[in-house]
Amino acid sequence: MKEAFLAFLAVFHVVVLVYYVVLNGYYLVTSLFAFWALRRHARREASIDIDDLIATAGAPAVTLIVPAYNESATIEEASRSLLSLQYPEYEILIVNDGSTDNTLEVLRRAYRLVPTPRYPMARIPTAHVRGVYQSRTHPNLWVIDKENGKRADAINAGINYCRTPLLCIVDADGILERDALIRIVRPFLEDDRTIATGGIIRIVNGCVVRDGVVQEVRMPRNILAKFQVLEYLRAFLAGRVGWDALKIMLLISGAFGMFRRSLVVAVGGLAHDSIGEDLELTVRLHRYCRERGMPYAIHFVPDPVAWTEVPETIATLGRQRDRWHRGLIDTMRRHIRVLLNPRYGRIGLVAFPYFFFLEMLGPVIEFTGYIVFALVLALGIAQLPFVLLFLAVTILFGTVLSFAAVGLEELSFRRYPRIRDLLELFLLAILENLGYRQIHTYFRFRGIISYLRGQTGWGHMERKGFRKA
Amino acid sequence: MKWFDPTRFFNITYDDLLFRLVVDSLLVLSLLASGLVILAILLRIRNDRIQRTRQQLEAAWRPLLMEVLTGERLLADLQQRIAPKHRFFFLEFVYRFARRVQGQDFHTLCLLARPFLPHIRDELKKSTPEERARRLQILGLLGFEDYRDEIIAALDDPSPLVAIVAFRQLARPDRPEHAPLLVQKLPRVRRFSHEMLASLLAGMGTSVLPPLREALCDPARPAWIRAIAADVLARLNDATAGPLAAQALRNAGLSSELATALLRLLGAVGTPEMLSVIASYLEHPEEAVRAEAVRALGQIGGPESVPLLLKALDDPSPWVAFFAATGLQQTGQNELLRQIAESEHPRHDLVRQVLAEERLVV
Repeated sequence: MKEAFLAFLAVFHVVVLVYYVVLNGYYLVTSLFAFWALRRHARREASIDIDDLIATAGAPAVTLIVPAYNESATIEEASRSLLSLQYPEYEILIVNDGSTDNTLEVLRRAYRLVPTPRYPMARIPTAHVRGVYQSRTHPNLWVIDKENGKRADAINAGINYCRTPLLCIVDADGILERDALIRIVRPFLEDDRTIATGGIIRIVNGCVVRDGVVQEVRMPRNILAKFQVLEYLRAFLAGRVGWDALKIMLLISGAFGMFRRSLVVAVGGLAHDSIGEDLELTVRLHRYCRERGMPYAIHFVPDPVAWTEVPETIATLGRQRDRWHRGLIDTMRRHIRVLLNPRYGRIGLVAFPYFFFLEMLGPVIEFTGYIVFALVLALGIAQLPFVLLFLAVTILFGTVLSFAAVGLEELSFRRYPRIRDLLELFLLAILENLGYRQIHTYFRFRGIISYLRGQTGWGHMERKGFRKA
Repeated sequence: MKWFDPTRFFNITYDDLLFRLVVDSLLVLSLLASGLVILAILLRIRNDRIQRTRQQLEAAWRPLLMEVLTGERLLADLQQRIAPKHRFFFLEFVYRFARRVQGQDFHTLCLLARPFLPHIRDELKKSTPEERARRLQILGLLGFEDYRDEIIAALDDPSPLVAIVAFRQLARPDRPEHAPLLVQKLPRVRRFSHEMLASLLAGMGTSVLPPLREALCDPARPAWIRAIAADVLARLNDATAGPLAAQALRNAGLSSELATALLRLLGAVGTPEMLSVIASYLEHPEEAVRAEAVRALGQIGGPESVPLLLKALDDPSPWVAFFAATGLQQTGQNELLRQIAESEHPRHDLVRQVLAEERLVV
């Protein structure tokens, strides 16, 4: 028995070593590219006066699609924020996805909704649409009331009713900054091949919100939310900015992404039975364009900001991460032919393998690693100092990467104005290794189990509403 | 690892080597982590200081600038206060004001910036396109007349970013003489949004018409340039371009981008004689082309186009059907539309929407 375990250990420690070297190497490369790209972005922003350009040359009309399910706590504030955006021409379609609370009533009261004829301009199959309403107070605000069919179905309903060349998917619990649309549309003006762009998601927990605008940026008070601030900084500033620079953008977040309507309709909208519909859509867009030899580009823009509320309890966080991981596995399974396929260029050879081997299978290695680590120590097989040193190296490497992400924030946007916030972020980068990372790994591992069990639910996300001034 | 045995090289065992590697990694990573923390804190201190300095400078310059604009102070008073190291920042400060004002105030700001502009002209050779573009943008706004040649030359800059900034500066209604050059230089800014380019050219007004008509008629030109030409001519309602578009549409094998733009042009300036050309595109396989053909039909067709529009109402594409319904409304078929709206016609909802948008039903 012990010999078998030792044989397993011999193989496993090589797997772990390769995994950590590749994973951290990948993060290191994307961080370095992100550093270069953020510096370039800042210079580029100053080099074309985009407000002036839009004022003279105009900008394509945009439809904001906001899927809403039981969002009565935040929908009024969120829609008010959307109504105050700086953009020449845009429409808002809030899709009430069969909410069981009074989301529709809140909207009806706040914006004096009246039933109005509106014909769908695409035919993506969705659950039955019960009614279409237009606001009497804000004619560019529409509400589509439909039977429940999950988030992707709600977005598809919005796409069907969209009549503008560009559509922007926004979470109902999010707050867009006033210039967010102007900033996220920029790649569509600067590169005619652009078919999709994504903006940065920042965490609103702890911030002061007034009239749908984030007035004061603060670190959250809740420790879980604090860790997620760091996590999001790492994911967006070090991750996606780097992917964009490397031209391997495989994920446009469903919380804030802009797409060319015609392309989204051409690929059949979002997969209604998918859990990770944003990743799935982005992969499908890549495939559609590459399989037809169409020139295209998908960009991440680091300065248009959507503020979102993140889970503050372990249970909610667990459900969210479980769902995200199931979504990831589902997309990987659906598009497995992209994996290491040279036909799909960098997407098939770099981006997809990263998601497949490191993101999807990573939790298996990490979770098994923790168990093996405990067993090795318990059985006294390995030298304790050596094991601890190795553990320290892996933790420290992760910490360095987190520090780099905080550094990138400091180099570029500096959204957390107080020096104590900066120091707190550094401290969190160390502390997250003492529990948060392990919990996170467990939730992702649980996501694999849930997927294998065929679980398809979304799980409930509690909304606390925004902290008002 | 027979081909390379590091233990022999270092004269130590594998365990020792691995141990040393781990310890060394730990040291390097610790140094790196400490370095990053120190760097970020220094960066914060530096950025805060720069921001404070800028705020102080702006606070000092703003009242003086107001006095200059109201004529209470001479230009030279303010110009003398600008330290050489603050020249570029001062120009950016003036640029921000200049964007928002016109007339005499704008002229005063240009005069205020004038002594400092040669310095940034010399920097137009900077290595990064972003820096060149930024300087060109300031030169174009605050010193266009003095630096026109530099701006024209920038159309040929290796970077499309610099070229588009130059293009933007030249494509203005008060600079009509540059229209032929800009049409000629369109390939330099090809990667930018074609709608945006069309909008910039249309903003120049009628001066841009002759070179664009020429481009439209020239089958040797790339389809995307001809499509931009058609788009601009449609925006400017150039009646002369109608027959040219009709002629171009008679040629088979046009790209859908060009066919769509030409049909849009015909919708804007075409005449009923051109209906037959438009009708030939009603069965086009591309939805966008059919939709534009139906829209043009509605815009320029009279009662004779009603049967075609009615047929188009049954097109599988909702866009084609939408333009057909709009076209029927434009040709005065409101009664017919009301009948369809109240019938079991598959598009009765769409027709209701069109009537509602025109406030023809409550």
